[in-house]
Amino acid sequence: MAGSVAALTLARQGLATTLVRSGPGATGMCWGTIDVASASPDRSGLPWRDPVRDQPLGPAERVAYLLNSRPAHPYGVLFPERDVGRAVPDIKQALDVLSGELRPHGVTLVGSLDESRLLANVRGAIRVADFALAEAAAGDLGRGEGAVVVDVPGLAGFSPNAVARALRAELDALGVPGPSIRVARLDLPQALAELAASPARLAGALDDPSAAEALAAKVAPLGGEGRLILFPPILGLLRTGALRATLEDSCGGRVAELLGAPPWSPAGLRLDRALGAALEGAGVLVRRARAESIGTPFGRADTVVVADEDGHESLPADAVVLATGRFVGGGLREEEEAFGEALLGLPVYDDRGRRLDGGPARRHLRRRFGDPQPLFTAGVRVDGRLRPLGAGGDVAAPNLVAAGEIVSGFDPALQRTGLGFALLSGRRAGLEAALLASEAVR
Amino acid sequence: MRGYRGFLREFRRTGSLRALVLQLSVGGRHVLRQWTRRRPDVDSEALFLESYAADGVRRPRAELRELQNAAQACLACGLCSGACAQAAGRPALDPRDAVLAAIRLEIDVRRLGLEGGTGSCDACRACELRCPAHIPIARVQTALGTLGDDASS
Repeated sequence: MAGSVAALTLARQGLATTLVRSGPGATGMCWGTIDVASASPDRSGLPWRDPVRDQPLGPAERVAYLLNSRPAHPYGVLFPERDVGRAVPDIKQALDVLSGELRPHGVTLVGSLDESRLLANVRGAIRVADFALAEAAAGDLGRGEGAVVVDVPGLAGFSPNAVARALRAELDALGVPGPSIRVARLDLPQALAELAASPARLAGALDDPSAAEALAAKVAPLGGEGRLILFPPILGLLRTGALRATLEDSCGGRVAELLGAPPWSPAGLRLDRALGAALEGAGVLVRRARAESIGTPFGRADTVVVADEDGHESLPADAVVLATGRFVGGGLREEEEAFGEALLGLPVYDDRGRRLDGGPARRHLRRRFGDPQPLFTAGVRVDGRLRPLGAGGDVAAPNLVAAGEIVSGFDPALQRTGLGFALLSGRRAGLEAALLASEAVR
Repeated sequence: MRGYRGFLREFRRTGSLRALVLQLSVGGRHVLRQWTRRRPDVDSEALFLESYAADGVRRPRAELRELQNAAQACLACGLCSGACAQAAGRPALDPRDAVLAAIRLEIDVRRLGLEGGTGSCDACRACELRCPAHIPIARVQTALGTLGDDASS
């Protein structure tokens, strides 16, 4: 996400931009939400609540909490004054721009910083979300209408009765007036039932309009009139919006998908595909290769060495955005028991400012699951312009900026701000890189 | 030796002669059994492989070992499954299941129920483009197909 957003920002400014990309990174594992605010203060998973109103806090209030209670979080770099009044317009603008880029390619982002959505996942846990893909955002349980969990027979690993029970318990724990929740069994057409063992294949098959019509005919008798119809995340890979509309026409209810990570959910694939199409539309040259190193012969990041099946190549650059992610993206690697940043050997720190690189990564994992895990907050330090810092605290290269999870100070999974920070930092890094590139040309 | 040190520690702790007798009798019987059941003409490794051949256990092949090592980087994220479905691929095994099976390459072929000639995919490599661990999934599918052929022959 960070690299794609930075590339889009640069390309929209009219700069020749190349995105070196070896895969979708952690974006491909998206659950269907883009969280800009942390949901919970600790590992309890319970959301921050307003002690007076005894309700979950809204996204803007949670951003304020994050800014003021987590000094190490890299939002502090993006919003150094820690004033939520200044942060919120920036966040809104970044989301509006991303939404505008993705919408022509079939992905609609829905959400606001004014109210939270209560979205359920495939296990029946409720997630307090800010922004989500439309098919997930439609499943807001906070509206109070009755809900139907659709039982798709034969779908591997999905237990709708357990989901319904868990949802009732979660809504009780949240103190939200619980809608009635029931389970309805879907009688899949034979051709689709044969694919139910693989959620991805079933979703792929539902992109076919004739399969969508056949499914719609079976959805009509579920009795979802005026209700929220919660499907497991199988509603197509590419034509999700059209399929939802067909199903809603058929059953008269609001059709939504439960949240889920791959292999359960194609949300990451949809997002990645739409980002790819947006990059192509913006004229970004996408190079399918792995970045191996960044050349800094005279202190400046002048070249990026990439490797693919045809061999190695050096790409010249006026400015470079380092958006290599952490463990999934490959920005942090361990080779021969030495853990560190992959391209420049930059020093790596955790959220407490302790240096982690050099030894084996396992040294920075705690045995108990509930303990803070320094390794999961690892990344490079940056200055106020997102430029990575070297061991002495000096800027590693004046024309190099970092974005996304490679930046240290937060746990993107636990603090739920992975994609949110990737979006905001990617946009800021793109603007900074454009400035640095123009300085280089002068 | 480590077991023997454990015995001495236990003996010091309990001062029990019963432990000494048990140790000597068990140890003595083990040595005696090894001596009397010697079969120098039998290749023990071949015997083992023959005994477990029905479960699909066989001697590792170097080229498969390389794939097995590559497959061990799998995060089980399932992005390959989605990519395969998006490319309308229809391999006998879902790509994620194929990679997870490849990690246990030597024993699972029969349990997977692969039949000769059906294991491979079309090698479009859509899955590989998504794999964050850069696993050669198409090659894994081909290798599993080969093992399926072997198993059914």
